[in-house]
Amino acid sequence: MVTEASADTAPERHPIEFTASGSEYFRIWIVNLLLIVLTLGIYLPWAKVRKLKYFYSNTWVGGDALDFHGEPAKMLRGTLIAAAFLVVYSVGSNFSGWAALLAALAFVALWPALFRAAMRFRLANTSWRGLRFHFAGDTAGAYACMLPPLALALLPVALAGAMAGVPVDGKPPALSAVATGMVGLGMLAFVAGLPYFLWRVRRYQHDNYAIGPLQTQLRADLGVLYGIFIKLIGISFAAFALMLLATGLFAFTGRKTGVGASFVIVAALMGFGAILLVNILPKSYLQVRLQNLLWSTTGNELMRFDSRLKFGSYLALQCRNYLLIFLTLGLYWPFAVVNTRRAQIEAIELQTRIGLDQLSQAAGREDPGATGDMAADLFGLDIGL
Amino acid sequence: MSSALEVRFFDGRSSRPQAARLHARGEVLTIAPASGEAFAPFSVPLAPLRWPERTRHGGRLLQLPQGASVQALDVAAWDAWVAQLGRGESWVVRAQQNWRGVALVLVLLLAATAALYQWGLPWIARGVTAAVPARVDAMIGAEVLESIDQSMLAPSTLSAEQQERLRGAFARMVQAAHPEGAPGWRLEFRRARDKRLGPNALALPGGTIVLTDELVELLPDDPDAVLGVLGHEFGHVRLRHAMRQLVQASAVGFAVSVAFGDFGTLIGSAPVLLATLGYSRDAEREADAESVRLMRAAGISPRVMVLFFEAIERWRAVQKRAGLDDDAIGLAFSSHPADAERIAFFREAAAE
Repeated sequence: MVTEASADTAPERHPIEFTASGSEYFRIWIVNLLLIVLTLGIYLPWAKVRKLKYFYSNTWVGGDALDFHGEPAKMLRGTLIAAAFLVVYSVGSNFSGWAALLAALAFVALWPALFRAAMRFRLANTSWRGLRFHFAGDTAGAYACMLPPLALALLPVALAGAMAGVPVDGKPPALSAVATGMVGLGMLAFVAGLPYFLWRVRRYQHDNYAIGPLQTQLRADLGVLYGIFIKLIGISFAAFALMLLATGLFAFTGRKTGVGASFVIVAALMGFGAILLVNILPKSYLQVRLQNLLWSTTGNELMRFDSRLKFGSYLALQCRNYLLIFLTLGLYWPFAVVNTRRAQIEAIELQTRIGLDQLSQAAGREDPGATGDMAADLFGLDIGL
Repeated sequence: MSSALEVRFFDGRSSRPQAARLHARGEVLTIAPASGEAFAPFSVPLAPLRWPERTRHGGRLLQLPQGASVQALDVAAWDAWVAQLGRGESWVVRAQQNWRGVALVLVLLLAATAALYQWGLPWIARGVTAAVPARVDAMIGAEVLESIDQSMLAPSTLSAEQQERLRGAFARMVQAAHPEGAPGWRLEFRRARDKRLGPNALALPGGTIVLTDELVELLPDDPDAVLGVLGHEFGHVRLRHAMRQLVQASAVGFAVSVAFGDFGTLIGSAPVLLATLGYSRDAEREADAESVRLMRAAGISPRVMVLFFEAIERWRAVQKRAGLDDDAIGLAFSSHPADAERIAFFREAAAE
């Protein structure tokens, strides 16, 4: 590993700007939705490209916008393959224990490859100043970081389900002690190892982002990540206890005063408070801390990022988003997406010790297929870009 | 078309921007270096170029063949220059850029979604359900029965001959209504373990109908009412409502996840729940219609169902007085249509 370049040359700082507006994205979103509904989903890739092009052309790094190059007609094939896989998977897992096991096995076996394909497609089709990005991760690396957690999380459950599905001597099938123990142990190992697995996956991603000759590296400390998760558990417990206490008090007073209009209003407020405590608060905490940790430790000797997302303002933003989405019956959703993205992107700063004009890349361009990227969308996999 | 547009040019190999000018002549776009830049001017055909869509704050990037690209220096000037090329914008872009277009699209979207919800999805669900082998229904039904046997139900205390009498009457009724043959069914008697379950009947996937003792005891002098209820449950069995609900719920879930992407599963689950409850009310109406058909075939007046609902109402009042009824959510979110609506339906059927 190369050490930091001489510390006396201060790095150049380039803010990252996000200029998308909620009202404009709302209009794009509505038109996209109409076309998706009318075409029964065939329009999905076109909608996705329009959305990504909008977001990328509004993301400015050092004064130049990003661009997305995916071609919808080519991505349609990927969509159809991914959708067929999704249908087979969800139908298959409903049939019987053994079919579910097979589906889970296929899922585990394919997931890392799909993930890598999604990363490759997305980066190869993203450009800045005429240079395409590149994802350098290999298939072996993807399997190495993702197989253990996937196997731990899915296989014991599926195996137990398959074993429970076989009736023994006509007796009602019951979960054997072995199966229960196996599921329990698998879950325990999964939960205890979660921060480690997450760190492995993120390292696989952040170690392999490249533009021109520059490739990034993640130097995040695993201990810090464990610290974040321990604090997260503490926060969740405190929130849960607070909620129980409030609900108890509420039920107690409700019994005394009876049901009135003010009671209903208080109940609605309590409901929102509960969502805030058990959902928004821990989720926002994790998102803020993870982003700051991961992006502030990503880079190389010539360029690095610095992320300073503030927890308080981010939490307030998310509370407002949830409340307005609820009050507008979902119509606020595009505004919430743009707000959240702006907060996340503009918290990041790029620092370079090389002129932004000095990057160059050899000719020759890869053209990875879109199946992985569309599958990632359909299965709800978040590749975090 | 002699005016030129000042742009930044990137050759696709280096991140260094170069000042350039765009000229359009006929069907050809020429990219020429501004004074002081070194690259050689070149031309590309205009027709295959995909011009960037007009947006309020976004950049304008035009991708050229062989990886080169040009970027707008001044977005307003770019838009004006592209507009005078005379290339029409697609209706999608025009709709996106004005609120009247968006309002129209919103109305169309609501109409299309409503049509899909009302006709499209039930139609698809019927097709998918028909394709699923009945074996699957039976398998799911057996699992459901096992799980509710463990949690909500206890063995029946009705006498064997009383059970047989009801089973026989119901079999004759089904035979009378469907002489051409009806889907298989099985009648199971159980006692409610939880008082709140009370008089109830359930149709499980695969044709198993569970009847609680409390329902049989609700109107001891009027076994016809029990047959009416069984007719309703038979409607669920015949139309495979349970399987259809399953298909519809997962389809709605998928649609919602497409629309709202990854912004929290919490927000996505509310519309799924509401849509499922709506479908469930439709299914109850269909089952009521089947119940009337069976009762007519057996020579029973649908009026017995009116008496049944009144008895249920009395039972609920008793429960309430005993402080057992904590059902405060009300009918707005209920899976069954309001009792009044169903009573009116059976009364009308009795009058015909």
